[in-house]
Amino acid sequence: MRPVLCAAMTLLALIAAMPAWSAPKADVLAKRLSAHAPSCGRFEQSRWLADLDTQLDSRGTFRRQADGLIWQTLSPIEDRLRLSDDNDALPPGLRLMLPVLTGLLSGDWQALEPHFRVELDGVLEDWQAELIPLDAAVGERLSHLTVSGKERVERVELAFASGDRLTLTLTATPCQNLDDGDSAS
Amino acid sequence: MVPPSPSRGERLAATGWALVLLGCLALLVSLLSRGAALDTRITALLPETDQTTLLERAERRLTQSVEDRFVILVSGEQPIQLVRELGRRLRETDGLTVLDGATFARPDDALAPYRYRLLTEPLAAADDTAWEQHALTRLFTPGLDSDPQRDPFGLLDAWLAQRLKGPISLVDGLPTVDGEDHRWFVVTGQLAASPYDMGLQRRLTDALADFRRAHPDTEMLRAGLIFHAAAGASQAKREISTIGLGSLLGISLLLWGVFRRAGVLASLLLPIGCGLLFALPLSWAIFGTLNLLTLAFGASLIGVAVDYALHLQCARQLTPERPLSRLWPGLWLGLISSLAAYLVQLATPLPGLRQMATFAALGLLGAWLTVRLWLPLLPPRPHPATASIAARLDRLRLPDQAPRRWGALILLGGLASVLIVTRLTTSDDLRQLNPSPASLIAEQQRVQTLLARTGASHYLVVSANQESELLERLEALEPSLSSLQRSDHLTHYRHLAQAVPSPATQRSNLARTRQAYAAALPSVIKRAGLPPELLAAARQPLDAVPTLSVETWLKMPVGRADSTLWLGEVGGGSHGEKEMTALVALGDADAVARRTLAELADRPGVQYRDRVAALSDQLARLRDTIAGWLAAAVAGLSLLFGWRYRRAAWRVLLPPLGALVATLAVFAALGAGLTLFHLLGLLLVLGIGLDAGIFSAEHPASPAAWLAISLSCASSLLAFGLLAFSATPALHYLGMTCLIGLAATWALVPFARADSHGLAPEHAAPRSGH
Repeated sequence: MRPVLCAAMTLLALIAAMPAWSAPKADVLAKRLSAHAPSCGRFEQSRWLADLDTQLDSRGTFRRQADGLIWQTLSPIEDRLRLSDDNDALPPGLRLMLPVLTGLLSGDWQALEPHFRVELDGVLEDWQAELIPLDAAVGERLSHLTVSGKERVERVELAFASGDRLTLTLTATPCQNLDDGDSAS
Repeated sequence: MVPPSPSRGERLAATGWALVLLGCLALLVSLLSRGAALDTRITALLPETDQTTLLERAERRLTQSVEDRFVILVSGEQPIQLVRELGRRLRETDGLTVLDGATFARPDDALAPYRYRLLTEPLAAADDTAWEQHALTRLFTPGLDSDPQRDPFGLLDAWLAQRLKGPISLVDGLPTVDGEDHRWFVVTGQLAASPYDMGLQRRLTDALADFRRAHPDTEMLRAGLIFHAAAGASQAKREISTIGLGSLLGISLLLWGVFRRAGVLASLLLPIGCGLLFALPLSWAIFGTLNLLTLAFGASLIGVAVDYALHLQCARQLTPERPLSRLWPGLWLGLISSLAAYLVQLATPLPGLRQMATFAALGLLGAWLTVRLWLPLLPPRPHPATASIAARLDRLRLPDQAPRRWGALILLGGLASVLIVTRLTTSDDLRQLNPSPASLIAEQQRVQTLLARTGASHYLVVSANQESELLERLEALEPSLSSLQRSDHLTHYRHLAQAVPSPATQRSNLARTRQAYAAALPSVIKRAGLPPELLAAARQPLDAVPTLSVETWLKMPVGRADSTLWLGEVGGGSHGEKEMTALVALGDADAVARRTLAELADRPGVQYRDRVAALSDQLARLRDTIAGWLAAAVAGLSLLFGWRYRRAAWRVLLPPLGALVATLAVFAALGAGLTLFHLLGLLLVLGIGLDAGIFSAEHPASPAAWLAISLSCASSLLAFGLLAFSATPALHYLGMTCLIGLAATWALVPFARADSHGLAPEHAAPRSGH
């Protein structure tokens, strides 16, 4: 009797655990991301230029504001950009990243829908999303766009048709600490 | 008394007329079998442009590109499958092609070699430091691939984003546009035949109806002349079958009630049928095409011809003993006055109106000849009811002494004149004449707003001796145009210099780029930590940069759409010399923008053309011209009547002129602006009123003439007055005018026949020999 009971219990446990094993639902993930959306953070970026066989590393901070996302590169050069839909000065390449950076960072999943088809994978605690651009002109140049993370977006990876690659790592940081240590770098 | 048997000459003439009609029938059959086109454009009734050949070409170019295309926006579940299916259905439709997304694709590769000569204003104006920062930003912010070797400063991206940005983006290779709440997929079609081709209209509407049936939840928005033309054609058909049938039934009942003989009824319709048979193939052959509106108006005007048959038959039914020769002078005058009124329109520059005048005049002539040559050959078989009706009607006459009625008439006339002088207005708004249903117009406007496109209602024409000078002139317009757009006075504009800068600008751009590559690029490479050998590789394409020409641009798939803006070399100068010419397409503009645009036209080689205003203006001038000609015709006819009737000439003039005054007074009282189409209605009222007046003067005491006049007014009222219920504005105006005018004509005839008992016959008709 006991082995049978054991088997039944295991089966029940398995069934109960199953949803955790299937891909997370977009709305659940969106809610989770939005709950943990960082107001500020640091990023590290590395761009691989296939033609030149060169890697360009950079880092900086980001800050979410009412009028957009302030994206500030601190090293090796200094540069400050306001990422927002109403900023006409944004180059088209950056415009593509708008929904990813401003939308996904704050858990606004809907911002992605007009631009990407999203395929979610993994579990809620450790997920990744493949974003397939709907705009054919973008799709021709971008072969791969993957976003992954846990309770926040942590990593964005882009692979281009030209062989170039770009990786972005994001870490949430309290806004008041943003300036700490930057002067050192 | 039995009427004398026809003479040999009369029989010969009747046979000859039969042969002519047979020839017309043969011509009509051959035209029909050739499938000559019917046209439904209301604009065909409008003036041919009296502008220079340059403007004519510009207009044709622009309107053709708009007219031969249609756009359907689709939205629904699984839109990509929907769009593919719609595309397939449309492609299977004979006579049209569907444009693919290639037209909207970014021309990256095609434009790449020219990028060093194509600078956006911010870059062209920026200093080396700004260029350097620009390049570094591209490298270190996440986004699309940045290619420091081929385009370190992102010249092409910047150019494409600024100059070629439109509302359209491609999804899975299909063009889309974002609306307020959802995305629309854009299906663009190109017609191989005229949008007025009714076969093509039917095939397209059928294909769309099938698609709608298969996907009832799909939302669709349509834009394109063909949809308006199809709606107009189906409305015209609907109205012909309701209003037309109604009036035919009414007239048949009326005439049957009076004559009660099938033979007489047939003899009344026979002249109209013969008139149509005579006029239709001849005017079709003369003009090559027939406008449906022309046909409707013209056929109505030919309806006036029923007068001739009515007078002849009434006289024969009521007084068979009198010789018909007494009638000929009246009939002659009736024909001449109507022909004069209609042929005046031949002097106008409106092709549609000329067509109509020709059609109506030929029809009247045909009908008149039938009455004159054939009807006397038919034996009169009067029905007793006709005589009793005529007798009863004859009691409806003014007493010999009726000062109060005359006083009232004069008072009314005075009041009407005051109303006309003080309150009569005119209306020249073309949009009022748009026969399209409001829902279709709204759909079209939504599509145009979404696609940021408008019809070709106004534009600038710019010309110069050389392509380079032309592009410079276009560039010189840029500051004014962009400031109008920024301040929301102008929704959008498009010209070729936006895509192809002038050679001078391209030269200075290249110089600026070379300087940036020399001064800013080394520092970019150093600060970013890029390999130093990159410098030489990046600079290498700058050695030989081709100049982008208009011709090259127009050959690129993305540039093809601009070909409507390029007229090329046109002989348009005042001395006939050849000039390079281009257009500036303009979106919706408010009064401020229109003023500025008109001012821009003061510059050398620049002309501003507002088609709606120009057409409205032409319509107004035309209305005034027709009115002037009509007045002249009335004056001429008055002289003729004065010569024939002496002091009784007022009898002829009272019904037509009185009705004219009454109708104008009613419109003045109602505050309805007088349009060209009201005037056409007045033409008809005038024609019938003249016939009524002539017969009142010729036979003031004859109950037969009064019966014929009454029947003529009543039947015309049924034929044209019912048009007041038409949904086509032009026909509605015509109908209203006839409704009021014909009622007034009939009411005035008793005055024109008044006191006839006391009149000496020679007074009434000194030359008719009785």
